[in-house]
Amino acid sequence: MAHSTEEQLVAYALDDVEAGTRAAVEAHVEACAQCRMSLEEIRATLDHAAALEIPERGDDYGAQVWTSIESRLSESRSSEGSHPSTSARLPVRLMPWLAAAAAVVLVIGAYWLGRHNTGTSGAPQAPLTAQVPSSPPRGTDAIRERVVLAALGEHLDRTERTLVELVNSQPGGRVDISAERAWARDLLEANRLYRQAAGGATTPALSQVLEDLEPVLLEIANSPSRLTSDEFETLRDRIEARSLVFKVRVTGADVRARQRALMRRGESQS
Amino acid sequence: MVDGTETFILAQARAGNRDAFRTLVDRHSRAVFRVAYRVTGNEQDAEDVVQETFLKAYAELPRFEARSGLGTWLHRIAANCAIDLLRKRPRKTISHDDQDAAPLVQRLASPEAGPERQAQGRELRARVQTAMADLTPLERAAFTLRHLEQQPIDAIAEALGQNPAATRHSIFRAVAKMRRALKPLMRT
Ligand SMILES: [Zn+2]
Repeated sequence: MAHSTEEQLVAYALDDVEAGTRAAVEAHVEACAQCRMSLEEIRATLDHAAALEIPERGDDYGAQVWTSIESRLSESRSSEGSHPSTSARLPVRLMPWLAAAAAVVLVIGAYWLGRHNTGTSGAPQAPLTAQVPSSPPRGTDAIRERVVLAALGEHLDRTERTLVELVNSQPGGRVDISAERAWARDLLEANRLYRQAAGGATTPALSQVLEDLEPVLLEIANSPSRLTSDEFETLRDRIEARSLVFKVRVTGADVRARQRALMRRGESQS
Repeated sequence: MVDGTETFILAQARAGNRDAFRTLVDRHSRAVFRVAYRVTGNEQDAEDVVQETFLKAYAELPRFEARSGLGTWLHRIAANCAIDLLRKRPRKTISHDDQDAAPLVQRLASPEAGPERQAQGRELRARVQTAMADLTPLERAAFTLRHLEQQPIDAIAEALGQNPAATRHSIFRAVAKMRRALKPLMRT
């Protein structure tokens, strides 16, 4: 009888063989002392390799790793590929109005910087300045500001509607939140874009609202489409505890007020 | 295993939440280090690989498909980072030192486990390490993912950019080489 090959024995020892080969190897090894010895050696080799001592890392190792990578994280996500804009990675499903949001990201940094950094000399530079191609001429600037405000106002309106619908759902048996969930998924992507844009700029109220929204939108987006009344009430409590609807409404109103002020200024200049 | 909490944290991290990503780093760093250490064979390289792995994971996270667990996915990234790191540098030459091998094995076989035997255990481990160091990066990575991480051949092949037959062969070569290196130490 031909001996088993070393390859067969290794694959057998690693449990990487099909049933037929397995049976053949087993039958042969049973009868052949030489192959039995080879198999034992292979198994011992595998055991020794598995027993290799690995230096221990303490409970705080994760924190150490985090400290060493934290400052490099943003470059790691934005430098991938050749697209400077986040829109390159967005799912196609979301594209139509998210594309608008993504476009806004490029100008929003310029807007907030231009608008708010003039008076506050100590304000930190927003990281987005690097992405803003060049400082646009005055007229374009005003148009961009209006685009940004309109998009933000729209975003806040949609978010408010979604939250209001959710909060006003009647818990009785299971609550179907599939519509709100779908909205939340889309809003989440947009919210992230706006957050990135407004992130380093000097608008604490707006930044804060966008930041507060994120975990809640996430939770809605990741909820099952039908909630038990307990689950639903937990979710609703979380939204209400942060006074989110109120904050979103107030911020939205503020954005629209700025939008109107800008339009008046534009009319008086022309 | 991916539990409900991890799914939630993962979704947050994908959406760009850094605190969520930090939680994932906390949860997985030690396991990633073990894979990195097995493939690179030394602590400093393993540390570099761990950092590289999480930076890469952060960038790739939006594309992560939860077909496999996050841990499995991270370990494959780590294996690839380790291969890249090892390939970038000239191959280390390792001196083989076979003296005393046979007597050592005889003493290892004896039942008492005194300090002498512990010293012998250290030597055996050193030999395993040397044997591992003699493998190519690809062999080490494929072997580690298969034997120590129990990942399926097809998944390893995909992760390492090989076809499954090539992966099987890498694993076989790894085991065959180590078997020869350790043979003098084996009790027969
Ligand atoms: Zn045989």
